[in-house]
Amino acid sequence: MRTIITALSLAVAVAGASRPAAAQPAEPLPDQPPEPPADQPADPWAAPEAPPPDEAEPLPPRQPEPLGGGFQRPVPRPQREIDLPVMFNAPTGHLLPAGVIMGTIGLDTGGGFSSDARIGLGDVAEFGFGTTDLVGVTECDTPDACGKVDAVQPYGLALFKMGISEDRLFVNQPALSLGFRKSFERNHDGRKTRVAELYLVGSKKLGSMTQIHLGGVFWDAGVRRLGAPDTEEVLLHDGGVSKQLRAFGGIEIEPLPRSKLMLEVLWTPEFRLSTVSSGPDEITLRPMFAWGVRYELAKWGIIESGVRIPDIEDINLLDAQIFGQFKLVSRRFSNFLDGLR
Amino acid sequence: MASCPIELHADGSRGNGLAATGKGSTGREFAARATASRCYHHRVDVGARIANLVRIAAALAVVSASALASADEGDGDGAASTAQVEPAPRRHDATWREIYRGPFQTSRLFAMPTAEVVGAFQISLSGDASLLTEANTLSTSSVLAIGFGDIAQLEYRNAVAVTTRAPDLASDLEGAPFALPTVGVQLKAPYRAPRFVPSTAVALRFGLPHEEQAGAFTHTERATDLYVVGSMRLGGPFERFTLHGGLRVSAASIETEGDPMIEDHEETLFLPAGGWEVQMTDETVLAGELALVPVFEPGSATEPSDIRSGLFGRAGIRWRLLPSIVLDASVGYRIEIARLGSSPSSMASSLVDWDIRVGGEVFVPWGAVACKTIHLFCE
Repeated sequence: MRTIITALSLAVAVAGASRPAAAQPAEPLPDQPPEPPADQPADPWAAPEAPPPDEAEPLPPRQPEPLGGGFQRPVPRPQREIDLPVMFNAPTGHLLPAGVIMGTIGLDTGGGFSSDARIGLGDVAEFGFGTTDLVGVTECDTPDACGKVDAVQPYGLALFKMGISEDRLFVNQPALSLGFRKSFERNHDGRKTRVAELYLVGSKKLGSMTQIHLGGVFWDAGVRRLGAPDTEEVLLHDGGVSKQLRAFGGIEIEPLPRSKLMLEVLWTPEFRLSTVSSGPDEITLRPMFAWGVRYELAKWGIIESGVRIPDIEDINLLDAQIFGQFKLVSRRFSNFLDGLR
Repeated sequence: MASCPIELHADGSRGNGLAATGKGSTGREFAARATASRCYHHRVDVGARIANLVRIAAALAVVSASALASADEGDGDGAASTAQVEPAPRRHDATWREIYRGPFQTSRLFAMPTAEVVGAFQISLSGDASLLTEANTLSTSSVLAIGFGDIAQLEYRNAVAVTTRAPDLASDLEGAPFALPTVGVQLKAPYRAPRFVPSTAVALRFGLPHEEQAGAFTHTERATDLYVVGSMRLGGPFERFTLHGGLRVSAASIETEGDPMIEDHEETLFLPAGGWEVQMTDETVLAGELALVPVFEPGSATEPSDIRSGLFGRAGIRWRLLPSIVLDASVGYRIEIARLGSSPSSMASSLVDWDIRVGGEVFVPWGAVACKTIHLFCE
């Protein structure tokens, strides 16, 4: 009860805009006239000076109107830089603009595969699906004697995130987002598991090259033995808030145009399955660290690569993974909607 | 496991759950009460009810439209929310773009009805689906509403509910959602609300009886709701905020046939509901709602039937993709989703029992379309 009220209160706080919000700050149209000099009063209603009659150009031929007021060819929005809603894996406070679709696929040397597809909703929210390879599982003879951690994959997830863009409520206000991500149920290793996370994250640009992201995440997860009707589901929230609440964040530095260096720290759940039939399973959160580069190949394509350490509480470079990701960003649907409107 | 809850949603529809209630109601001279009880089994003439509702709505629409028209003549300002913009033109020569340009008025947040009705000569078809139901099934709900005279709407709801056929929480059995229909009429008070005075609406909904077979018992659950709601747009720095508050009086009953006989249970519940929305952009609204909903718990051989209330909460966005198409996405807590899960302590603080729902609303200006295509219902 307290959680849902807190979440809804956060949503109200995020929504308390006295100005219309947008996922990305609007930029002027490229063909707008230049601003008048500061010592000259601006007159937005002044008509442009007409050329002398003998120099006037003939009017262009009139274009026929579309039949029946039909749909016209979409008029594309002015292209602008999009602040991505995710670093390598950690969410940022930014949202995709309305109608913009982003897809991601990733591979790593640990044999992991991840994918993500999301769409910006009305400049204030995002919705998406994906699979992750960051949920870990290990078998334990005793709580202190666990084996190698493997990835449970694919682990299907759905995402809903809403927020407001930077500088909308007041000057220097960071971009803020409240996100909820939850998995579908997954059967593996004789268990049925599920995870969910609720996070609040802020992103702020510092100067022209740097951006930081900071947030808090509230995790929950459950594991239950299959075919054992007498056992109850083990839930992360049974251990209290201290087992669920964690901080995460990252930093982006753009030393060269279209190239970024990024570092991130985030938390991922790990299922510790007891090998004893009557032994209880456990759920823990492990901190993950990743660093690497992001390069914008084109307006529609981004490639990322780097290194991640799955558990920095127990660093073992042999467990480090090199990963590569490709992001596709499409504005076609957004432009199509603009045309229909 | 003694009882199998069935719940009613804030929108007047019924859902349910599968969890044991844990109310410990055994040992209450149950057998004696059951023997003494009378087992009613009402059969409702649904067709006659719908016909009556249509007549009532049409009559009220005619009367209220005239009242509204007279109010319009003498009132030029105010926070009016009715008939301020030219609706879709009902002319032969109207273009499709003009017809679908709107405006189209929605009458709900996510599940909570607001003090608005669908416009005249318009149909609203809306629905949503949970993506993450623990039973790995897609639970859906939908509403079909027809506007009358900008002051009433007749509606048909098909809302998700969950069967009681999963008798044991500890087993791997999982319930299957089913659709539960209701019919109702909502009327909007025909006045222009001044500033800081809410517009109001009242709705009456008949829950169509639904039969559940649980072992040797056949349970028939139904509820009739009277729902009053007020909506008020704030001013000053909060001019983008609109608040909604409602009270639902639900007369609910569970009637059971079987051997041994279970006493019928009737309950009148007073269920408050609240919601808010913020106009974030021209096309997008951020909204949230919180409500109590009835929860049906049909009895068994060891426990009597019971009806109580539970929590329902959502927050999300409504994005008007086009004037006639709205996309919904929200996150929140729903009782029936939690109870489909296996966690014995399902409650709102259990994040794994929250769900994400995606849906939409499509408006069809049927009057304008009919005028353009078959020259009927023209202005």
